[in-house]
Amino acid sequence: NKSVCGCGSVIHDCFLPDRCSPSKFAPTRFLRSAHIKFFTNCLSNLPAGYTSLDTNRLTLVHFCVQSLDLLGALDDDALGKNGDENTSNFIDKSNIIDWIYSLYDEDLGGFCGGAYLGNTRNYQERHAVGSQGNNHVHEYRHVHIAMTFTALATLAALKDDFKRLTNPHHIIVTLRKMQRSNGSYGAVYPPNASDSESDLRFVYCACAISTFLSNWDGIDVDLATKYVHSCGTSFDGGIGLVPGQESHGGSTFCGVASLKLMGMMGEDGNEEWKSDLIRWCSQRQVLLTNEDYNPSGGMQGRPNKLQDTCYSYWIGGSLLLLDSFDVLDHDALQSYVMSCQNEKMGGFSKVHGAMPDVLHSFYSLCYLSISQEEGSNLHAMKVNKMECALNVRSDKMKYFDVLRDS
Amino acid sequence: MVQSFTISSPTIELFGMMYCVVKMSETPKRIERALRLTTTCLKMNPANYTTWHFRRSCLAAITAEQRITARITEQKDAKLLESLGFDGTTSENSGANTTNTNANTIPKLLVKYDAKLVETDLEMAANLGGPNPKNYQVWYHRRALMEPFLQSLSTETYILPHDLTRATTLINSELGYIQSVLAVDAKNYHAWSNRQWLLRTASQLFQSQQKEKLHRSLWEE
Repeated sequence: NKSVCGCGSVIHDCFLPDRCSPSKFAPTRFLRSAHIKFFTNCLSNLPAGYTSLDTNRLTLVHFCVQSLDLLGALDDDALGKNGDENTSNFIDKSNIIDWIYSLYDEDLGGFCGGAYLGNTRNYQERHAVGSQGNNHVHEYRHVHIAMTFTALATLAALKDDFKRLTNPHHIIVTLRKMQRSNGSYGAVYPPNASDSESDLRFVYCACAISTFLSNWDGIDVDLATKYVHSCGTSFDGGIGLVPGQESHGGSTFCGVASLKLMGMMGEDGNEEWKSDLIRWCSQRQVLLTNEDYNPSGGMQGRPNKLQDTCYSYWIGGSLLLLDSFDVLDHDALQSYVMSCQNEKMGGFSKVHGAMPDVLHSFYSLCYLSISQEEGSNLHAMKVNKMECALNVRSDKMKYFDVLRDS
Repeated sequence: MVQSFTISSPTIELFGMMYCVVKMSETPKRIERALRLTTTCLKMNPANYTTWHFRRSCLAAITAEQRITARITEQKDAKLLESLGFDGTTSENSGANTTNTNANTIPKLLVKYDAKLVETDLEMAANLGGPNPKNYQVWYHRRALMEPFLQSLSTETYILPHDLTRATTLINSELGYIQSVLAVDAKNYHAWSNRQWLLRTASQLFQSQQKEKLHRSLWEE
């Protein structure tokens, strides 16, 4: 049986907490080496519980690579391979870069999430793969907006020179075609290859891609801004995934980050929506629980839901982008996130006591990265600084400069 | 290879077969076989959006073939009746399924997915949805099955009673299904989202129906 975190991450039953055995030994120190081992292992192999993410492999690689980058495990440039001497795990950066480019479709303008439909034509042509069967270009070939976003982000983290991104302009052309008449974005292009839902997640991806490529011709910014605001729920101040839907931590981040990246946060004095939103976000910190074995201080995604580490980033990050980071109790929140570390395997789980998974591990690190200057830093953690709205290490953003005039 | 998953070999074989079927450039002749293949693949990975899309292509192809067969049958029936002395506009064949080109008959609504297929696929989606209540693709499939029919009705100037009944049944049935999902988890975001979409669509449909009723009553005065 599976359950899914509101952020869309699939978690097998075995990952859920065993409520019969509360742990009194919640780790409070930052387990850097264990985390490096966790992400390095996940990069090469994942258990069958992740099968449902087969179409999204690029996002999983992004989570792992960015996490390693935040942990400082990609810093040593010797021999093009990287890792941590203490764990003796090595990450073959050039292998990962090759794999990412194997998913690049220049004609369609973007990346696919995995090779589950065969390799792209670019890959086949460049690697002279046999002409029988494999080279067949079929109607289900497509690119996915979230995969394009994560591909670009990961390539920058790996210090790629983007020489193999042979037509970045075409990515923007495709982006333009993916915007709906109400300003939202769908996920897949071309539309006949697969229909898809359209919502704020993909608006955010479009904004991130445009930022990376320094080209905003792919977005009608006014229309997209209208759409973001139409997802705002007037009575409680939060932002839902589509217009009319309940306010949710994930969509709130997507909306806020999109506005920030588009430069549409509005310093025009019409700030009422902002203060309502800040209040909604601040109310998501769970400061009391009725459970003896569960620490409090974590963030919930919606009212009356459980604490969940990924919302420490979705909502914490939103507050940071709204210049109101200090409304949260970061000592309590950091303690909660730290208590979700897994001493044996590394990584972070969604809730205290559960098994770690890639998504929650990554977003926990993202939160720790943006919050390490807050609170008392009782846990003496050191995580590299990340661009809050983009999930890329700040000092890796310069690798996008080469794409500036495309 | 970067990021392999530990999956068993029957799964890999099935995905391989699915992949071969997908790569065929024409619509597979054995559409039914392809459809069954997607069922098996979806049981293994209900989150593969391409598999779902391919499944809908199969359903649309089956529906199109059924329509062609039905039209041929109707034409044969019409010819037979003529040869027996009936002129083709008697009560024997005045049901909603006639495609008689007599100017007084109303053309049949062209549906993308046949009603029976929609029914069985909604059931199939419900079976997958049980263990995967927050799977985006399963919820999207439900919507994709119903939307073409419901939306086409709201643009029709006249809706056949038969189609209106079908729409009402479909909407009520779906509301019931969503209710059952919410009974298990009242906070299921997808369930509420789907419910909003359904009510909005239903409301559009019945509003246009009311307008139509108003028009007709004015015309008849």
